[in-house]
Amino acid sequence: MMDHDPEIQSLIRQWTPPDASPDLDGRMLDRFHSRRSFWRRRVSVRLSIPVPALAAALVLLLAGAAWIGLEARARASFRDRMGGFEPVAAPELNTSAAVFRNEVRQ
Amino acid sequence: MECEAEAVQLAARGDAPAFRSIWDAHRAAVYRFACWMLADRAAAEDATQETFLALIERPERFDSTRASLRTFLLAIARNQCRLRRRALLREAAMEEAEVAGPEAAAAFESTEAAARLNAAIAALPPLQREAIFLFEYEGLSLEESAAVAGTDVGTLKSRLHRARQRLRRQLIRPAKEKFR
Repeated sequence: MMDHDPEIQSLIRQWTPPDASPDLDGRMLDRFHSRRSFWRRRVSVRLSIPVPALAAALVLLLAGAAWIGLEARARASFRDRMGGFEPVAAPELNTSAAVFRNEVRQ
Repeated sequence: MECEAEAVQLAARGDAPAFRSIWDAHRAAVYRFACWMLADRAAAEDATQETFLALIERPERFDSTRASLRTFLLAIARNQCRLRRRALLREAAMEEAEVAGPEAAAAFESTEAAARLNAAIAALPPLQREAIFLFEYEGLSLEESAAVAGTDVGTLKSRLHRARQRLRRQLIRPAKEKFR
């Protein structure tokens, strides 16, 4: 247990603060009355999020955005590589003529 | 204690008489502490006002089972003083002056003894200065002083010890030597 030091105590208690401004009370009460209104305080919501949770959410958000960006870039580059490509039309085979020719030979 | 908590809740809801009762009961202690820490009347008045506004902005932070309202207000005032002290130091750096040094303390001087006392107080590092004020000047218990300073009792004791040694070196020994 530590006791008070009477010598130091009597010495420092000679110190007195300067008188406060006479209008300090008035200024304080003005500030008290000019605070946000009762209803505004009721309607406003204070949200507190733990820093680790906020950091994790930000990392997930950034990772998601990066993934979407990469995916879009990959799709665009595939379109660029295949630019001007048109599939070749499948050849039409007509077998009826050959049959006809065979029939004539016979 | 219950009464104090109720008054804080009422004041936070805009009840002017409740706020007035808290202000009247604790204004002097908070202002004294701010003057002691800042050695600047205008800054001390600002810190005092901000302390009471902070109390009613976040009344849920005050737990009357853990601390008295005075202790709680002094803890808020401590943070306000730290913010203001930093601002004063920035201003002083720009003006190349010393904050809370003999010049800043000169406003309080009226006699040679008061001047020496002010200079000795101003020369204390802030953590020792607050410890000696809370325990020796304001008469708080060690536990209350530690709660205000946001530290444990052991650390507060060591700050007190160093502050006493410094004050004794600057104020008591020279006076004794003078009368030899």
